[in-house]
Amino acid sequence: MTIRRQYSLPNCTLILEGLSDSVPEAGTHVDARPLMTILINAECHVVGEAQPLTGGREFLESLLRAVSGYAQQFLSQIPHPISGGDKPALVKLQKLEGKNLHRLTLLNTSEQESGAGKATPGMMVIAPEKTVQIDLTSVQLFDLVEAIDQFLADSRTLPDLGISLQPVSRRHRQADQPIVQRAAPAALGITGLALAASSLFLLPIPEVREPGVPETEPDSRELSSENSEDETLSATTPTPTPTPPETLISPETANPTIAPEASETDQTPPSAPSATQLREVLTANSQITDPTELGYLQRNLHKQLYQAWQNRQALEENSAYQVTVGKDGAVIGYKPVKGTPIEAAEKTPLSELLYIPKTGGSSPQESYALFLAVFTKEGSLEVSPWHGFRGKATLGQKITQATVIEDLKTKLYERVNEKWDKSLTSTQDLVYRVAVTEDVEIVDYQPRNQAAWDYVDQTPIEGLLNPKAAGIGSKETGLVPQKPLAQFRVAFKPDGDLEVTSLN
Amino acid sequence: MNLAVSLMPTNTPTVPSKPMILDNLPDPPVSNQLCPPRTRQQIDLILLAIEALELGGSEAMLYAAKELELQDIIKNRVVLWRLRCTNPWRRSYTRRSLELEEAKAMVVITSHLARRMTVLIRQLLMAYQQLSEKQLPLENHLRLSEYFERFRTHFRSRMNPRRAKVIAYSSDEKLNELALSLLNQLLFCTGTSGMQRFWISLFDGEVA
Repeated sequence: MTIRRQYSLPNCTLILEGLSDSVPEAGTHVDARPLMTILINAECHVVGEAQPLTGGREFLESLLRAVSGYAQQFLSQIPHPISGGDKPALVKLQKLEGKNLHRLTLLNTSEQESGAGKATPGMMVIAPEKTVQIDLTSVQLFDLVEAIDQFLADSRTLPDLGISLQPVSRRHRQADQPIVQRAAPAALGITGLALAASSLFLLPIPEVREPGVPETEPDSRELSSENSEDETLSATTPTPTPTPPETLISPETANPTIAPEASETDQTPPSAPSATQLREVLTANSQITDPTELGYLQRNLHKQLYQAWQNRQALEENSAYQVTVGKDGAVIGYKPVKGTPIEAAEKTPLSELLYIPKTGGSSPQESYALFLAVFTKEGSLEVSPWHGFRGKATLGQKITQATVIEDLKTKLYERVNEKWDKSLTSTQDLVYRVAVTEDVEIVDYQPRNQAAWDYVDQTPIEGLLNPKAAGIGSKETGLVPQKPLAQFRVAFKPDGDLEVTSLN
Repeated sequence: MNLAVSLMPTNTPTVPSKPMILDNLPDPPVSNQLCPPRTRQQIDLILLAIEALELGGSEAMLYAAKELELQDIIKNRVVLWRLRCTNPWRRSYTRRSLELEEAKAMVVITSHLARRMTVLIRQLLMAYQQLSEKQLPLENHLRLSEYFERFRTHFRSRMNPRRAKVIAYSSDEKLNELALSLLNQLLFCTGTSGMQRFWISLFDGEVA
């Protein structure tokens, strides 16, 4: 008794004919849908094609593998290798680029002929060596997949045939964009950097600005500008940009001095010590100048601003700000540098990050540092100390014993590797400087390339960060680590490799 | 005796208790039970395509969550939005990952909604095929051009154009291609094993 099973979809019909080798047990009722275990003939009709694709079991198995694999490839756009072991691939599917069509190819073998002969005599017109090609639309392809899935879901028909769906390995993933497209962001980034650099170059270097005389005082302004000009001439300080210092200072407030010199205090009229001056004197001592601490504050501010800056399109012009940061790294004030409109601050993360003391204006005086933060309209960010670094910034105390470092290196690798899910969408390596304590606590890190900034969320670093382990962030000592640290270079590679090298 | 049996697609998903419907989807071998970025991105995009297909698509998603008894995972609009913001392309990208269970819930909802729109999806895809064969502009089919236009609008208003991968979709043509590919994926979601196929495809190239 031949069993015939038909799976019909609007564009495609799969017909299987076969036999059952299981003898119904005596006394049991007649099975309405007997189990088909032996396939005699398989036919696949595609609407619009005069002849069906036909064949025996090999054809059906090959059809299943090819169609199922191709369906997954169609969904993810990632090539699926069709592996049928040693069995020949009679059926192949390939994409016709740019046409939304899928070419189904059936290789004609002798086995095919015997099957075809039985199905329709008309099939015989195909020469034995020739192959059959059908171009399927996406909807037709879906119907073919669906017919096959319905057959696979039917437990009464050839239950020994099955397809296991598995995601393909990372190895099969190709670069998802052509090189030109992949290079574009890098080119953009470089242009952005160049633009940021040039815009920074146009700004006068804050360090060489002559401190001292508050500009809010109309009577002293004339005097001071004369004097300062004279001074810059006489001091012969090499100034790369000869822009007058005034361009930097917003008129309403002057910047606190770093270290007022006697000559400058002489310049100010003794009769009128203004409020600004008093404030300067009061606050000058508490300004942070230690290069190491400044370095930590700078990196912290950069990170805060970078992470909080969401809409990087909004700026029409480059915006530069003088940002005041407390010892603990909080943004306690900012003001636009001349030339930057006040409203632009709303388009930067500064307003969001501004820390307002709960107690109002009477917060205890704390030490602070000034930074220049430039947001470019291209979306890049630059942060530098307003007065530059005085001296060489370090990373704090170091662990120096080679054996300890070697041990930490292994432990750090294990720690990071365990938490990393090994998937990166970046095509570049992500390189970080990572600082650890003796107990392998990650207390500080710094992205070393742009990709490392952009894809930091795909690494476990932020999650492992525990600055408190080195006393970073305490009220008294600020952001500088209080314990000796070992510095490592950690690179996450797109292929899932992790590299840890010592920086000591 | 020839016994002809014609099966229709089983279009009515049974609604078992909460964890069971998610059991239809296997756990792919990813670490920490967290979804890689491409998975998160694809899920959000396919939901975006549903929104472009159906006015009030986001309402339908919440309703489907209730119907499928997934409200323990997707409690409300805000939760759904947060889950979708795990797509790294988003302007409001939350920089958190997506748990497998959360991803499964969204895929189950996608498949549920896609099945309800099977006829529409097929019509649109066939119309697209006809138009492109005759080299006619998409505007000739009102419903289709509406889908593309809505998709482009949604995409542009929600994705962060500073992301390199989003920049690649800055032109109308590229966005239409993406919308078409998502529509095809939705069609596949309507199938007997469509949900599983789509789910597995989300992890292609993401496993070891």
